[in-house]
Amino acid sequence: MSISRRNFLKASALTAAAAVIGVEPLTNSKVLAAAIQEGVVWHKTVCRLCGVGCGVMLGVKDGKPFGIKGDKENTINKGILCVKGFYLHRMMTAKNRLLHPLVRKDGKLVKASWDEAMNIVTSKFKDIIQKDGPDALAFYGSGQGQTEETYLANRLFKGYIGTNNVEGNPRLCMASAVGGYISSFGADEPIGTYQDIEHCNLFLIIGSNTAEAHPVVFDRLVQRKKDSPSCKIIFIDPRKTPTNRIVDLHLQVKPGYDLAIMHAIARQLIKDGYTDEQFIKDSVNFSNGKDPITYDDYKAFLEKYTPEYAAEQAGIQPGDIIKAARMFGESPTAMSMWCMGVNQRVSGVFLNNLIHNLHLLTGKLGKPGCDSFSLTGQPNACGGVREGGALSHLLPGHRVVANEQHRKVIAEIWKTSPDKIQPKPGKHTVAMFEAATKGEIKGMYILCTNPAQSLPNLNKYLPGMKDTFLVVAESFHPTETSKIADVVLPVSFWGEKEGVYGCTERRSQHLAKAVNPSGESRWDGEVLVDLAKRLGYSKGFEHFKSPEDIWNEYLKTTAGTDMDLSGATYDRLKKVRGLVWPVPTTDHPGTWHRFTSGDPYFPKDKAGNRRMYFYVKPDGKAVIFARPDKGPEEPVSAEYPVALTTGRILEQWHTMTMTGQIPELNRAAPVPYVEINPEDAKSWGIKNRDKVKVTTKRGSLVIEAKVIDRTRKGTVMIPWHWPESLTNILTIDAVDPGSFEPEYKVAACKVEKA
Amino acid sequence: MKVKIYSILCIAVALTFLLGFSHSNKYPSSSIIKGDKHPDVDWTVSCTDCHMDVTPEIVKSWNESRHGAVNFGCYICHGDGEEVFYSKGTDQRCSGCHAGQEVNFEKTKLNSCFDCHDGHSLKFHI
Amino acid sequence: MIIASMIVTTQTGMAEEVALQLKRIPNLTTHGVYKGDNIIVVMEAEKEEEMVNMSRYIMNEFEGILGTYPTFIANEDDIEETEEK
Repeated sequence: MSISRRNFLKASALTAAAAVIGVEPLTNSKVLAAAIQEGVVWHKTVCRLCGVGCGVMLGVKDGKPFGIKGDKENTINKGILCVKGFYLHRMMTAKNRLLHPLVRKDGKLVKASWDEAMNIVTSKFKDIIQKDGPDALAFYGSGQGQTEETYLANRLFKGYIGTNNVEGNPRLCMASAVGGYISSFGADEPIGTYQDIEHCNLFLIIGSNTAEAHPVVFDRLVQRKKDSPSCKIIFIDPRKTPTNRIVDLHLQVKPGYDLAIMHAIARQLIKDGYTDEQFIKDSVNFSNGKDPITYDDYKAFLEKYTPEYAAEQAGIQPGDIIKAARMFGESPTAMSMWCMGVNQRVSGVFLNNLIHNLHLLTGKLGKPGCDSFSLTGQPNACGGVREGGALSHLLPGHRVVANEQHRKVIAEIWKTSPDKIQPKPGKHTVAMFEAATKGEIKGMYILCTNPAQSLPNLNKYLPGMKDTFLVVAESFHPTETSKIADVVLPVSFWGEKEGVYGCTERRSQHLAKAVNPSGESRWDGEVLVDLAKRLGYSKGFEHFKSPEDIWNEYLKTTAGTDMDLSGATYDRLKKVRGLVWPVPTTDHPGTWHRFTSGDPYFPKDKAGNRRMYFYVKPDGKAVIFARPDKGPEEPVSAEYPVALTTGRILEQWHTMTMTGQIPELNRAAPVPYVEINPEDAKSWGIKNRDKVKVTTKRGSLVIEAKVIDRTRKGTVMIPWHWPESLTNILTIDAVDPGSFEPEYKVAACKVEKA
Repeated sequence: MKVKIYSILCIAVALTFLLGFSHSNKYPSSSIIKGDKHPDVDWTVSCTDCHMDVTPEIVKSWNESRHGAVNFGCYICHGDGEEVFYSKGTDQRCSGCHAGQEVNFEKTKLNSCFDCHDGHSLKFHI
Repeated sequence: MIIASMIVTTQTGMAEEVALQLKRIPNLTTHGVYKGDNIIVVMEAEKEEEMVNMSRYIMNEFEGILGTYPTFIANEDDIEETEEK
């Protein structure tokens, strides 16, 4: 009976197919946005790429990634995505996903079992600890790891192995912003949020190609200008970029010479009477960087910075500086935004301070539409590494290793002895890789990042990395780093694991696990717990069964601090579109402006009539710094007469491990190139698409010329994305003495026809 | 002997979608039907760099549109050209941003977002 | 048991070769090549999920396939249920 029924169905199936061929192909039946929802389950998560923190819905059908759409409910992007975010689900199943462990045998990476790989890591690490001490080991993490993963690694290396050699790629990207926030306001991260954008009428964008690096923020700026015709944008950058489309005044500076401009603007604000004297009296101290100074001392210091002096330094018109100052002063609201052009500099911290100065002078801070707002490059640089304290001098919850009380508190939460945490900061990133070159660091665990492409002055550091016992936990292979690893551990990618990301605006958001890990890949947390157990620390780690267990312990480190996350439980985060700390209790809605009466830690008694009280500073006052203006480490010279700067394009992200897998995105800029100003090209005899050789003191690169009116004359720019053309062979590894962040943004080069 | 036609149709539609929209679908159905294939060109040149010379009006119209303002490139709707190409443009990525404007086309006589919106200026033309 | 049919369209001149390869897939029968490059295929699977996986497999794993277009799908159990009522 059942057979005949089946045959009937088969016949029907056949007839249908034949009919279709005879008539019209069924493919004409269009599949439609709403109809497609059938059988698709959408999971609320956060974009894996830049630091904006866009809400994303990941569609899953039959256990496989199916599609992606913007999360309409998310306050950050309100359903909008950028071109990179569109392809997230395809990155999950990209061809370069690593699906099994690899170990190096006879010089080659070969497939291995998890047990074999972990045994190699354990015995080698144990060996190194025994022979050379814990400081011969290092952890190098990422602003892309989830908070739980970074927290666990920090806990294992600082609290159990006993080395402070714990760093992460935010050192290469955000460290100067951290230094700026801490020195000016007393605590890391912005005072306001994205919400200020819709209240702001004057934006100062400096050293950020917002349109390409943070497209959804740019979209909000576009929208803001549309909604408020009086809204103006000042742009300080060596290049004309797609950001210029909405810019009203562009100060196209020489790379590395913008500090004097900020002083000149401050001077002009004072001269024109745009300062908020009451705010300065209430909430501001002055400092020359070493000692306190007076407001008058500061004014005297500024006298040198006439618009003419600053304009000459930067190679712009003095009138534009005066104009910028007036625009900033006249507008009742002002928001500054900056990114790598400010941070990746030997004077990165100083420049951050000088931006904050403008807001402190005019009191344009801590109220709607006003903020000194640093843009971030990675989705969890703020959450995992800055808040989680996973740099060599930090501990979780805005604590430092040098403070005995801080070590005690954290050791107790970590269930380890306070003596285990060293009081001396470990090596910062560049020093760490330098130590590897010298053989002082013998083993390194790299999580979710690609330093063999992203470090500056690569020729100097690559040999050391090759000699070091390198463990790379990655979702993708090959990357420049996994290629030279000794053990590559396949770890779950975004969407295959649960966790929390903290974005630019102090907002922590939950990422759902939507599908099972690909191949043999495992969640990083599971791998780190396994490693801890194998190293003999079972007792300290065996209770971590899920990301939520780790998050709950992490919350304890934040309780009662300025970044209190106690109210951001998993339960709550799964429902809401993130929470902006401080959020001390589960019924607290989160905080828009810190250090004001809306902040749960605002001490009303101490503050009295003061609008803002920076309670993380002893007297509640922020600091205006009289910093000297400092040029780049490597100014142009007769031998290297051209300024080289590096940058990003809209369609690619960092080292292209993810975006490079998407043919559509690759189409936008198919080959590596160097941007050359048309006037320069003409005088150098270079035509568009010619091969040129760009040389710095550190190396040279043959690359295609893109002759385009973007960089100012005498400056060239190379995006650093392509692994087949390593821009960082050219960049300089000089670091900011305060933040230890390298000066990727300025070097001296020469350009010749190849 | 009755067959649950409705549920069968649903599955069929879902299946069609799945296959038609599967990420690894190298040759999308629309391009087969129309027989449209992007001419073999120098693929080391980006879409806009070439089309600025080949179809300047289209690039201009896109550039002045909201999509142009935020640099939503040709490839979003047309594919990369070499591996996948949709001459009319595919709706695949529309809901990436316009999730709030999802349309149930079954209830209309339309088949695509581009039936109403001009693909380059994005202006509503019906 | 789910039964479905679909048309597999191949690149010009590839249909015969693809049909031979498809024949090796368990629970799949091919029913000839029509109008040049269209192969009629009937598939059986226990679950809908299996059917989808099979379709995906065909789409992804064979050289020369341009598209797969489902034309019919029915669940044997559905019929059984209807009959009993």
